[in-house]
Amino acid sequence: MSVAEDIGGIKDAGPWIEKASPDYTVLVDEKHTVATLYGMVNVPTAVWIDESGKIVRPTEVAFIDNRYKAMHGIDAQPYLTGLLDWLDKGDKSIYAMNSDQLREHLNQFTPQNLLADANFKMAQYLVSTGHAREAIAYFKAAQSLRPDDWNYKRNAWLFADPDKDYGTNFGKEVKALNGKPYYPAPDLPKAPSSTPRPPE
Amino acid sequence: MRAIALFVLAAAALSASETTVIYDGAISSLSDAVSEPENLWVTLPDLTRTTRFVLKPQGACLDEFCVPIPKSREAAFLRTEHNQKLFNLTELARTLKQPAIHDDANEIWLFGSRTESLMKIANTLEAPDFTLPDWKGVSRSLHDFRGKRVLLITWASW
Repeated sequence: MSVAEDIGGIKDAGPWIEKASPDYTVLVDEKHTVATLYGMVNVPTAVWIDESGKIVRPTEVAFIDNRYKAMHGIDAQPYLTGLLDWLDKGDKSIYAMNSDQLREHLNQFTPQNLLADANFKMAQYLVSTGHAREAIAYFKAAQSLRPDDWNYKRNAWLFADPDKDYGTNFGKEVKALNGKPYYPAPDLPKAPSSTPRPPE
Repeated sequence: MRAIALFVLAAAALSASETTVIYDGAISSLSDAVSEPENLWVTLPDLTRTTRFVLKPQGACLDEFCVPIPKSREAAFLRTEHNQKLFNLTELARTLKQPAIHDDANEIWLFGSRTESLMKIANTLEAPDFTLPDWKGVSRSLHDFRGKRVLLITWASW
């Protein structure tokens, strides 16, 4: 199941879905409900859910190809290998986490993050009711409370002039990371290989 | 003529006093709310309509979950105006450490997520359910996919 994190809603995400005409479910998350529930701060981000509705891999960056690898440096292959292993073996896959491992990776939902989220939702509501200019102050509050959230930044910039209204833009923000990774790499186990690797 | 003018004035006053409340993502329009800079007072029917909380002898309750209202804090939670009992929704939010944001210009109150509902996940490890539309507007829920393995993955047009 794929979910579009677009505060512009169906109007923005719809044409892409229509053109791709995927054979899986694609939903549109105008209010960032999924992002809040699962603590997602960027796209593409994924969670694995088993047949009983339990999480078996937590929120993490999820690339299935290397289209943007030059920018973020994350190789999609290990994640894809894990995903196929899980599809094959289910909960017996080494990539499916047990409850102790999962609890190490759960979101903290700090008061500051919840306040950031509320400011973002106020901004989203103002944008959706035709008050995009008035949304800027709330977008800014959300961004300063939670600077690592790219959903906050990139959705905000769509409804304003990033340079004029926010004094920044995507290029500047990526540069300001100063070597810090754009995405934290997923915490995947080393793939077992049939030919033993030489000791490191 | 005068009657019409009065009617128009009354209608304008009424619409000016409409308060929009966003609670658990649901949007409600309240005409009897009293909005102060730090407090939002709502009628008891509006309390339940907008938040599902119900005022009971044991406190403000949402299903099994109740926030007690001791005598010492009753004045902070409840008051009577024009023979109508009003409940302080922002006081409930402060008690629950739930963010509440007031947009003065458009008279909107937005109440954020409550920690205790989000933290359930640490106990159950159950994937929180949600219902969203597809691009044609047809709603789907995560729970429709029980019995299948789900890769829940986000993207965006931006």
